[in-house]
Formats: sequence, structure tokens, C-alpha cells
Amino acid sequence: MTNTDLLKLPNSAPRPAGELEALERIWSTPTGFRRLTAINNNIIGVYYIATALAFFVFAGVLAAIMRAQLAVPDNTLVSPDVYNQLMTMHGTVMMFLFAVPAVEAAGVLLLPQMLGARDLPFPRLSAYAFWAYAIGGTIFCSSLLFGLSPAGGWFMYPPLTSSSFSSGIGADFWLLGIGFIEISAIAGAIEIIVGVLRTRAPGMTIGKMPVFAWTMLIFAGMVIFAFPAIILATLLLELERAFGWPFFISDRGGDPLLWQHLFWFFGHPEVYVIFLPAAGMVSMILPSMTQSPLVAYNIIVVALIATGFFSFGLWVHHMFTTGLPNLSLGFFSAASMAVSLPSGVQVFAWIATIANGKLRFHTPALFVLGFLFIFTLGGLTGVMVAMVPFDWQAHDTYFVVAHLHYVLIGGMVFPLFAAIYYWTPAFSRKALDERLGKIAFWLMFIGFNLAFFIMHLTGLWGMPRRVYTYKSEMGWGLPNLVSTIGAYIFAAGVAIVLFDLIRKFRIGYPRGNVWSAGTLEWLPNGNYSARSVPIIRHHNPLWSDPALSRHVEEGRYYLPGTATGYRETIVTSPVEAVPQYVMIMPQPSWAPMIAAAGTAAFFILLTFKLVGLALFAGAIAVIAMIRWGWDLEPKPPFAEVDIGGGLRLPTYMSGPRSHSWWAVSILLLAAAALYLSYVFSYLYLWTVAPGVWPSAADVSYGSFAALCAALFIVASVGMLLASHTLRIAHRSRQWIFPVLVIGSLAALSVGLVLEVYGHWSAGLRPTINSFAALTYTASLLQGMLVAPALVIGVYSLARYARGDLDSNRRAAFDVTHLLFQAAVVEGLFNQLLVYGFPHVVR
Amino acid sequence: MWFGNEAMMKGETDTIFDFVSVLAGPLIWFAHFFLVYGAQSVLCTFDRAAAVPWMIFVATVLALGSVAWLVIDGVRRSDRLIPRPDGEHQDFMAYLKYAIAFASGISIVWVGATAAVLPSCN
Ligand code: HEM
Ligand SMILES: [Cu+2]
Repeated sequence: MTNTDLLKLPNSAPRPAGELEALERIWSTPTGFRRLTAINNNIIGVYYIATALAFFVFAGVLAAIMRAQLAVPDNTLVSPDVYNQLMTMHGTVMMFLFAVPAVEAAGVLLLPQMLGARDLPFPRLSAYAFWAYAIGGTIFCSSLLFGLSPAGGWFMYPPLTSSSFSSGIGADFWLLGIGFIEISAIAGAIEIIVGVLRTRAPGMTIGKMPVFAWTMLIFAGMVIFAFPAIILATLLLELERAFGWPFFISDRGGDPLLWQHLFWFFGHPEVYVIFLPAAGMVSMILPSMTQSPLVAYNIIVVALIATGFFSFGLWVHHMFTTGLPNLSLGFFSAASMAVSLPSGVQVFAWIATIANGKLRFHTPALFVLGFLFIFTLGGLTGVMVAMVPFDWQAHDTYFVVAHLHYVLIGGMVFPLFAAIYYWTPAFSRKALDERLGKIAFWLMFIGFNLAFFIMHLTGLWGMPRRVYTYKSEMGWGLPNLVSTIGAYIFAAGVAIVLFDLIRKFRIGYPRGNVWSAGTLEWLPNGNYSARSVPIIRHHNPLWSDPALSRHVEEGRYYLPGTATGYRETIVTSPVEAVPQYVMIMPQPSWAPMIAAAGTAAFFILLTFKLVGLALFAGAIAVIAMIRWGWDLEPKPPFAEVDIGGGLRLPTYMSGPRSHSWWAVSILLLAAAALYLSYVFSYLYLWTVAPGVWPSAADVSYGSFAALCAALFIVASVGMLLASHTLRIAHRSRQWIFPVLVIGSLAALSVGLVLEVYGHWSAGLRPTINSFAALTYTASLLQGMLVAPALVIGVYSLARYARGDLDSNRRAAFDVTHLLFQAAVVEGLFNQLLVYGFPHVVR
Repeated sequence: MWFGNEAMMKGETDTIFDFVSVLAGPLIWFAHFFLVYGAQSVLCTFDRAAAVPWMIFVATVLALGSVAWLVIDGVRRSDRLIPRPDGEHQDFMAYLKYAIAFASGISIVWVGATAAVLPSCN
């Protein structure tokens, strides 16, 4: 291959008349009321970030009230109960409704443009995740107005949150609301992983991918593995509160510490989940601000992956004072310090980047410098609290409040504001005001340090956290007053930024590359992203090829129009980014929004124990989801299309290479993580209370286990046969396929029902002890795979009847099949655990 | 085509397993971590404090051995690569594999070393 070969452009210009217009038409955003049906990433992404910022303001107002209360000693502005609600809501909203969604939103908004895709692979799923979050979050926040808020602190430790100590519905609100929002976060994470791995521009190998994309990939991976732990925890606590299944009640073989394990198994990675994408933003902004490439890209990627992984080994450091053996604490302390190394590596790489180029002090650069300063300090105090003896001193004092805000505000809010200033011109018709931006930065920076630096001292002087007031004799009045003043200065800075955003941010043909940046999101773009999809050979393609923007806009690269007449994007291979097929994408629709509203209503109504209404809402959600799937996978007009330069790609793909196969596999990873958390809980409670585990003789009803296992295996084989018949497609014997599918679905369901019946008929009741409760939970978890397999299975049969499911277009069936086999595997494991384990240990 | 024949051919075969193999190092780290932590809790529950240091020692040696193999293998592989037409000088995935395995090794030593300094069960 010669150089000239590589430089040749796939298409010639000028492009045929009408090509651009057709592209614009197919990607146009619905107007007026129907704008709510939009699914484009640039619209949904902006709504998403705006909503996250609204929650930030809401939780900030709560903080302002708390700070007003704490400004002077013996204050009576709010009562202790209201203070607890404020504090719990502030922590919860900041962590669950602001920080995680904000970075997820940034991913939805930025990734397609940055990777050279037209949109994320499942636009309706992003729309669903957004609406679920916006509706669910708003209802959750409104609970404060009715005084129904949870008051157990943001990590909701039982027994304080068990029904005996929190009998109101506040805690249920938290559990169902947060559980639900985590599910939407997982939906977004699946979208992001498939998007990053499969929709990069041709030639953008994994080693040339922008660092932000790496961080979002790791972010999403961590969400997939960490969030199931909290979903399980909320599920168990809710089961305990609603039905008395004793997971956390110690006299029936439960243990409140189980909650802490599950919560922090999620909660610690959560900090990195928030921080890594923020670091990714910094790694994008600094090269532009210094006009020189990021130093040590390779090492940064390694550091990011290492941080993501090692952060899973840290959860117990939040439990140093709970009386675990020293050695267990030692492990976690060691791991906590080890994780600070990769963070340090990154900071050095950033400093080297600054040293290498010439830093231009625009607003984004200021926020990045503020971040570096604050975050480094937060890291230092973090190493301090990672040392077990020091933590015994500082635990539950304002030192921890200071540390936590240094890490969170330094590590996430400052980078996010840098990102807002930096990327606004890539999506909005106008950039933000530089002068106002600088004023805002200084207010935020000074206000923040004033408010929180002194809290380290307040903490060392002994002020405990989570108190609604303090006596003037304690001498904490002055530092608290300073903190309050600082907090209000910080708030003034935030208000300026929001004011400018409202004034300037308008979706439309964006202002463009004002920073002379080098990555793809700065190509001229519209709803369809870049006009044509370039071939990537460098980390900063816009720097290495100054004509790139022009060529892309002239349509001289791949896919300059719409090849199939639908919305579409190029799917490439995950490592080398070699084009594999053209994926047809969905049009705007009401279905995601209605489905999201239905799901939100389902969870909220359950909180109020309105089961009938909840089921009705759930049914609406399911119907909307079926409607949403119904017009996916239209019959492509051509089996193959030319995307330019003679490159012909298929318009459809099934099996392990298809994006839907990837999405379901990732979903199953999350299900596996959920199941592993369950197995952990099972073994954990067993070590705590081996006494409630039955002896082998008591679980002698094992014949049920054998029967269930047999049914599961039969079902599994039946489904494999169904898959096979679909492949060979007997046109003459069309009934075989549906019969096999229905038979297998029935065998699976009957097996599950028998499993539960077996326990019940042996006299086991879930409320008697933790063993019994865990046994029924196993079936419940399996049911959570069986139910969707049933729904999608029936849906596939409907498609089959309509003639929309055949040997090629078979995604609906493949999805069912994967879920189905996972349910089978889980069922078999359950038999081993529930019947086998007691035999082994006694 | 545009990507060089070698890349084209690899693109045909690259799958999710490429990622799993890159994550081999951290997965070993994870397994070691859970094994050490889990086995320690179980041994302590049943009053077998004396076995704890041994268990940790064996687990750590095994984990380190496998990580070391990953590093050596990865370095050898990425040395053998031919320069590619797009100028990327090494196989990024091979590099990631051994660099991350190396980092995992450090962390394994770190976690394992705590056994040497702290009492087992109290
Ligand atoms: C203007 C900025 C902020 C101010 C003035 C502020 C103030 C406060 C105050 C007064 C508390 C209660 C401390 C106590 O009574 O123990 C608190 C707790 C907390 N804050 Fe903030 N905060 C701010 C921003 C944030 C942000 C951006 C986050 C997260 C992204 C955050 C996360 C938390 C968490 C997790 C807690 C602990 C709640 C609990 O103890 O359950 N805060 N904050
Ligand atoms: Cu932590």
C-alpha cells in the first residue's frame, strides 16, 4: 500500500443534488409538541444535562438551607427531623440524580460526535433512560414538599432504615426510587458500551480512541458491575420492609452489616464512576487549551483501567470502624492506597501536557486548574482517612464532610463546568461569555475553598457530622459562619454560569471549533452529526489533516447521504474499527417516553402500596415497549449498500456480530453481577448465622430440585432446536418453530413455579429466617430473567406470524434466546445453592 | 482497502474476547482479592487463625505467577509485531494486556504483603 492510496478520498465532490437535503430530512427533529418524541443524541443529551443541572440546583438549595441553619450556634431555623431529611435528600440527589446522570448525559451528548457516529446505537433506549430518570427523579424530589422524605442519611443504613425504626414511607421512596434510577443508569451504560465499541469511525482503532471515550467505556463497565449490588441491596431491604423477609434483622439470622457491604461495594466504585469521566473530560480539554497532544496517552489508558478495577477492592474502607478483624481492614487499606497511584500518574501526565504546550487561560482551562488543585488536596486527605488509625479519629466528623466535598466537587463539579464552557460551542449556536465565565470561576473557586477547607479544622476540633446544630460553648461558631459565607459565594458563581447558559445555549447548527481542537466533535455538524464519516489515522485528526473539516462537510468521506432511506450509522469492529455493516436506526417515537412514565408510575405506586394501580402502570409500560420494538428492524430495501469508495456493506447483521447481540450480552453481565451479589449475600449471612441453615435432612425434598433441573434442561434444548429450525427455515413446516418456542417457554415457567412450590410445600416460609428468605430470593431473581424472556418470546412469535422474523432478521428471537438460556443457567445454579449447599456444609 | 490488509483481516476476527484477554490481569487481581478476603473470613469464623498466613501466601504466589506469565507473554508478543501502514507502532491491545497485568501484579503484592504485618483474626 502506498501513501497516495491512503490519502485518496472515498467520494468525489460535488455531491449529487438533493443528497444533503435527504439526509437532513431523515434526521430532522420533530417540532412543536412532538419535540418530546425526539431521540437524537444531541437533543436528548442536552435535555439530560439540563435535567441533571436542575437537580444540582435543587440539592444545592437544600445545602444552602443546611448551611444557613449551621451558620450560628443553637439555631432553630429548621427542626432536627427536617435537617435529617434535608441532609439525606441533599446527599442522595447529588450522588444519584446529579453526579452519575450528569456524566452519563455527557456521554450521550458527546460520544457519537466524538467517535464519528451518527447517533448512539439505541437512540430509543437513551430516550427511555432519560425520561425514566427525569420523571422518576422529579417525583422523588417532590417527596420533600410533603415531608415524606427519607431521613436515614444517603447510605440508608439499616437497622435505622428498617421498618421498626423508620415506619413511614420515606425509606420506601428512597429504595424504590433509587433502585429504579439505577436501572435506567444500567440501560444508559449498555448503550454507551455498544456505542464506544461498535460505532467508531472507520480506522479509529481502540488505540486511537479519544480518552473521553475510554473513560466512558470504563464508566459504563463499572456501572454494569457495581450498580447491581445496590439494586440487590434495595430489593432485599424493600422485601424486608414490605414482607418481613429478614435479611438485616439479626435475631432471625440476618445482619445489618450485609447492607453496608452491598452498599459500599457499589458506593466506593461510584466515586470513581463519577470521577473517571470527569478525568476524561480534562484529558480532552487540556490538549486543546495547550494546543499540544496529550502526553502519555498509553499510560493514561492503563491508569484508567487500573483505577476502574482496583476501586472495586475498596469498599470496606467505609467500614473501618465497624469492628471487622484487623487483617480484613488491612487488605482494604492497602488497596485504598494502591488506587491512588494510577490517579497520581494521571495528574503527572496532565502537568506534563501543560508543560509541553502553551496554556491559554480560557475559562475551561481555569476550571481544569481549579480541579487539579482541589482534587490533589482531596486525594491527600483521602490517603489520610485510608489509614485505619486516623479514620478512627476522624470518622463521622466534619473532616470527612470536607474530604468528601473536596473529592466530589473538585473531582467532578469543576471538570463538569470546564466541560460546559468547553463543549457549548460544539452544540450551541453561541459560545458562552468568557468574561462572565472567569468571574464565575473565581467565585466558585474561592467560595469552595472558604467553605470546605475550614471544615477539616472544624472536624479536627471535634464537630460531628450530621448534627442539626451545636452549642455555642463548643466554639465552632466562627468556622461554621465562614463555611456558610463560602457556600453562598460558591452558589453565586454557579448562578452566573446558569444565567449565561440560559441566555446563550441554543440547539442548532453549532458555533464550531472556537478552540482549534483536534477531535471529531469539532467537525461541522448537524442532527446527523458530521455530513460524512471520515477515516481516522491519528489521535487528533483535525490537527493532522487541516482539510478534514472541509472534506467531511463536502461529503467526500463515507456515507455522505442516506444509503437506505432510513437513519443509519456505520458499525465497525471493536478493536480495529473496520467497517462491518450499516445499521438502520429508529425514527422518533412516543413509545420511550410513555414506557418511561409507565415504569416510573409503577415504582411510585408500589411505594404507596397501590398494587393494582401499579400493575396497571406496569402494563402500560410493557405495551409501550412492545410498540417501541414493533417497528424496529424494518425490511432493508437493499441487502447491501455502497457507502463510498466502492466499499459495500450489508445492511443487516444477526448473531454475535450484531449490535443487539452485544447489548443483550452486556445486560446479561449485569444480571450475572446481580446474581453474584446475591451469592455473596447468601454466603455472607451463612458465615454470620450458620445456625439458621437447615441440616441436610431438612432439605430432603430434593426430588423437586431434580424435577426442576430436568425441566430447565428440556426447555434449554427445546430453545436450541427452535433456534436451529429458524436458521434452516422450513417454509413448509412453519408450525415447528412456534411449537418449540411455546413448549420451551412453558417448561421454563413450570420449572420455576415448581421450584417455589417445592419450598412452600416443605413448610418453608420466607419470613422465618434469613435462609428461607434467601431461598425464595433465588427464585425471585430467576423470575426477573424469566419474565422478560416470556414477554419478548411472545413478541417474537407475533413477529414471526407477521413474517418479520426469519433466518436473517431474527434479533427478537436471539434476544429471547440469550435471556432464556441465562435463566436456565441461573435456575440450575439455584438448585445447587439451595439444595446442594446445606448438604456440603453440614 | 483503506486500513491495510492486516487490519482488515484482524477486523474480521476481533471479538469481545479480545477485551476479556486484556482484562486477564485485573481479573486475576480480583480473584486473588476475593479469595484472600473470603477465605480469611471463613477461616476466622471457624477458628483456624493459623491457616490464614499460609492461605494468603499460597494464593499470592499463584496469582503473581500467572500475572508474571501474562506480562512476559505480552511483551514477547508486542515485540514481534510488524509496523502497520497507519503508523501505529505496536499492537495496542497487547500493550494494554501486559501493562495492566503489571499494575495488577503490584497491587497483588501490596494486598498480599499486609498478611505479613497484621495479626490474622482480631
Ligand atoms: C454548594 C455546594 C455544597 C454545599 C454547600 C454542601 C453542603 C453540605 C452539607 C452542609 C452537608 C451535611 C453535612 C452534615 O450535616 O453531616 C453535606 C453532605 C453531603 N454532601 Fe454536600 N454540599 C455541596 C455540594 C455537594 C456535591 C456537589 C455533592 C456530590 C456530588 C455533595 C454530596 C454530599 C454528600 C454525599 C453528603 C453526605 C450526606 C449524608 O451524610 O448522608 N455535596 N453537604
Ligand atoms: Cu470509598
